[in-house]
Amino acid sequence: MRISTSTIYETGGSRISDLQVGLNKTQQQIAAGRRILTPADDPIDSARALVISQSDSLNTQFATNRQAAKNNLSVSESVLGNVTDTLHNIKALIVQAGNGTYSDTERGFIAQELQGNLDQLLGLANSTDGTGNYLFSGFSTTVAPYTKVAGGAAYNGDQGQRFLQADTSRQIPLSSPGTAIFENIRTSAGQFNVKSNPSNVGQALATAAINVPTSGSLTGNNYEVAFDNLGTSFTVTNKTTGAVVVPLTPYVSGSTVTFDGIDLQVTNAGGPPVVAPGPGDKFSVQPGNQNIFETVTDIINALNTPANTAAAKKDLTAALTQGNNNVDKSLNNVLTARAQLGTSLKELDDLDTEGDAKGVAYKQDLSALLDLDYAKAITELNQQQTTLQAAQQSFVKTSELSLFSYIR
Amino acid sequence: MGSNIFGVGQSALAAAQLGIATTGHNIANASTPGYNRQVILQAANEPQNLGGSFIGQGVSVTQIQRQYNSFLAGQVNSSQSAQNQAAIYNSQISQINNLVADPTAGVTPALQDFFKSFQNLAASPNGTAGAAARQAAVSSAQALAGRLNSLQTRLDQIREDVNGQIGTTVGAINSYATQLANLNDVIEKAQGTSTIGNAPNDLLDQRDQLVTELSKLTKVSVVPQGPKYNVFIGNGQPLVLGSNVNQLAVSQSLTDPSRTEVSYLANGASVLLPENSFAGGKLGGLLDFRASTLDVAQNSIGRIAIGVATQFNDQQKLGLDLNGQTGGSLFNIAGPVSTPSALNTSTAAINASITDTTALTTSDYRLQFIGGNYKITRLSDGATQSSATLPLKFDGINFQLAPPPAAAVPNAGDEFLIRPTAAGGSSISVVVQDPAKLAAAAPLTTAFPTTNTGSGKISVGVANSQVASGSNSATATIGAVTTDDSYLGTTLAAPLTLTYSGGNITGFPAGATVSVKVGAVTTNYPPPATVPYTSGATISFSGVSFAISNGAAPAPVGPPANGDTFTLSAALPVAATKLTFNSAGNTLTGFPANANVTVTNGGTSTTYPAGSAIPYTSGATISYNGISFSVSGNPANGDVFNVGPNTNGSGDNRNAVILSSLQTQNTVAGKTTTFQGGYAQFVSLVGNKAHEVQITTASETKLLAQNVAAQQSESGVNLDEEAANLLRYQQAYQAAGKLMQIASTLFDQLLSLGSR
Repeated sequence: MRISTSTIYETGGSRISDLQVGLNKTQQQIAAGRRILTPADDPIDSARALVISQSDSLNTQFATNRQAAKNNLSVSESVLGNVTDTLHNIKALIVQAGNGTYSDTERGFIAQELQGNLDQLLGLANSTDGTGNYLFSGFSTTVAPYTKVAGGAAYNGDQGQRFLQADTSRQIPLSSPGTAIFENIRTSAGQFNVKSNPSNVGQALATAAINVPTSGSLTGNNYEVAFDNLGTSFTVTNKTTGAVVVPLTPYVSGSTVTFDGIDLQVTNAGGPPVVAPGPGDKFSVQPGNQNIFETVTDIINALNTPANTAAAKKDLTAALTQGNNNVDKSLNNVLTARAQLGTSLKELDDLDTEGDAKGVAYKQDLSALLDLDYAKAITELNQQQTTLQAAQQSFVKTSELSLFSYIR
Repeated sequence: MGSNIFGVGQSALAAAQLGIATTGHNIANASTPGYNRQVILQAANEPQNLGGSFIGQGVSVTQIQRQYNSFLAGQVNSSQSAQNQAAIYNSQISQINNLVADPTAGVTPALQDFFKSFQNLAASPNGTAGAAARQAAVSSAQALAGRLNSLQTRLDQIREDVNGQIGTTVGAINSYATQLANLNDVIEKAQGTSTIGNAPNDLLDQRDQLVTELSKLTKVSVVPQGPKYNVFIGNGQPLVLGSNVNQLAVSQSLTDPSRTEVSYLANGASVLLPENSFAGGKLGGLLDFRASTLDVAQNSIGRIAIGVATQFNDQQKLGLDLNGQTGGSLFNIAGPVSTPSALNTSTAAINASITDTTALTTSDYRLQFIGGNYKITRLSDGATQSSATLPLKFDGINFQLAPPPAAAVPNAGDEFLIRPTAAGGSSISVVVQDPAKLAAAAPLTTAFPTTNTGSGKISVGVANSQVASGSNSATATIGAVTTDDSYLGTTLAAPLTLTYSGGNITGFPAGATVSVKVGAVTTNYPPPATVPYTSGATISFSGVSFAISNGAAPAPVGPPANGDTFTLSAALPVAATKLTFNSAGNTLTGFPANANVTVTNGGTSTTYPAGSAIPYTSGATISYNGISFSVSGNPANGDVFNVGPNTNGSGDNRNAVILSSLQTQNTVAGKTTTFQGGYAQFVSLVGNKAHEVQITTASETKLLAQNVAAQQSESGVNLDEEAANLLRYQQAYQAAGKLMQIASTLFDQLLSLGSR
């Protein structure tokens, strides 16, 4: 075939240019360390790499979230550890206070020590995490969960529980609200814990229930129903505040007295013969559900009450027994909460291990998709270099060939 | 005899001279583009009959012929068109390709950082760490918006550049066309003066070279007519007819003033040529790139921007900020761009709004009013929907006449272009500057008092809808209200009361067109709307949708009574509600008056008329007034569950968790992928197209080189060949000279005979 001179130059030039483009690309790949320089180099893999990089970034973020959750849970765990110790202390003190040989003064000392423990508990319940947020006030993390009130402490938080995304499909609860840890001491199966005083002469029974329409005025305080010397009328006193909520009222068996959102009924026992309440009989009405601060305050109050009569001694024993039971229940609550924390912490560790493994896998995937095989690339670079040199040299040689060179 | 030899010698000298001249011309033009080598054609002169024998009379050059093969030249021209189209497409798309090349740059890291910052916000919504997390969230939102903006700005620059290049290309085409017409004239004249068969070779070369240059710009077809060329472009529009030129011009698109299109000037009238009529060449490549890559790229970016912005805004509005206020929009984002055609004869305008970002495509839409019907065409694939009335919903977009209520009605043949996502990337910006305004908290709290004796527990609850619904009907119920992305919070700033009477529902806002969907059939009722009541039909207006249904067992059965009302109102703030459990009937009571409570258990939902006692099922989801929660366990009689506004929940991260979970939810492209997946699709689209175009460019370049080589092998100058020719003609000249010398010697011999 005929070949024109311009074709010789053009093909030679464009071939060298092609080789230079290839060489330059390999050089860029080596410089960047990446196989895929632009999406066009491998559209499918570069799109996959984007999706995997999101998974990888999420995985890294979940690790950060887990760390945040761990910090929160560890602080909670250590606070609850202290709470457990304090409750053990309180239990020991209650047992000690039960010692029949102790005088009122000695019980006063114990009451004093219990007060210290109570303050300590309150302090622990109001603990904050590293950033100054209260641990046990639900969502209201800027509000101290418990403030001291007569008869114990009142909860100011809410019942919210924060969750953190610890993995794609797992949310880990952060610390529980105070209501689940320091409260929920169920003292009775009913709405109220109504007890006849151990020294009662009569055998009448008292029951209490929430008066639904006025349930808004429930106080959570302790009440005492006290019959007069004749056993025919009674008063109801708020033991926590000392206020008389029902003035002297004639007793009618089975009739309902309503105060502070509570429907109270005192009924003659069984029959026949019908047994009416006796003179001076007392009934205590406590919320069916106490918090630990109320419990400890009740114990302190009982210890501070002189126990110089047989009846008073019976009251004291009953109060201590009740207190002991309540502290046990509170301890259960705290231990349950700690167990949950422990489980969560354990789960976080497991998720960490899994997350690390995933992270490695994602990185490997990304590396396989994007990274350059240096050995291959450098071999290719050498080959391209050699080819380019050969092409350049041969072009120079062929272009030198001209008949005109021989025409003299 | 002597004169004969002189004659022969002289003709040989002349022929050799012409040969040398032509060879010289070839050498001189060896690298002239479009030059076709020329050769002389020699023939022996007519012999002289001298007594029966014919004596040769020397040689003469009959023609100087250019070595031109119109078939090969045509092949070169058509592959010039194809190669230039691919090359310009390649150079344009590689700008986008490079833009999205680096996985550590581009939108990906901005998107990931954005969601990371919301995860961190969920970890510490308040306090010192919270302040930092909030600031980081606002900053990363700004970074994301900025990244999308800058990507869009770059695309805008590319678009400007494409518009400019279309202009210069059209200018070049016109210039070549004029030159062609002039050359047609000149060649005709030149041929007229020369003897038959002798062509003005170099002028023909110039004209063929012009056709080649024109082929680089757009695909042309050449029909020779006598000595002239007629050149046609596009769908057969004559560009050059003999010595007449029909110019092309750039003009604005009828439906988009920012879009440069090509029109054709013929007989004083300008006709807009459809974009797809230009196949091949630089012009074809530019138009193709703009339609099939640039528009789609812009819409893809816009779709991501609109998706992120809308989803976040909607969820923000279901949460509370650090100050306990209902959250506002986090992003500002522009909606669909709707432009009427310049040829429209009415003043009607179309208001398009996005109702469902998850259903958005990357296509643009054309709305035409033809034969009394509104016809909407999705431009990417030509799918259509039509209806006699608007609004019409298509791909998550609500097409409506604007502005209500007194909308101008389009005339027959009116046309509108709606670009739902085109403005997304350029318009996204962050509204929230105060980090405290990020709605990390949920708007409601739930609690149960310690006086409860049962083991019943209430879940933390979520807000589902910005709109609460209620009814005073003893039978009929209004279901949960869904708001779409076109819902404006101001629509229900004051509660809206709908009244049932005589089989109709009235009371819709003035100016609202109400759409009622029964089964698959949607009917539009223009304002003031009186809507016939159909139990269970979906009623929508102004971005809210709901259904009113007859009472069904176990609730009282039957349609609403005359005078029954149905109310729609803002769901937030949540009203404080105290639910009480009654063991006798195993029910919960205490829901707000007029609230239609829906209980969902295991996929079955039952809605109860207002004021009903709601049967208790442990764990079932209880929803009303746009909020939902569940009560589980065994509550005792009189146990109370409180639901109320979140008043002090600065540490609440529930909404932040939901916001950050948007990262992994499939909210793009018909709920098939995530935001990141949507971006990956865009990158993959660009990458695939760029890859394809690279390969096409490479193969077209090879093909062009082959065609050029084939053409050159016939028409190109080979200098060695010319050197040989030079020697040949030189020797011929020398030989002819020798002949003359010999003739002269012979003549001298004759003369000397007499002198002796």
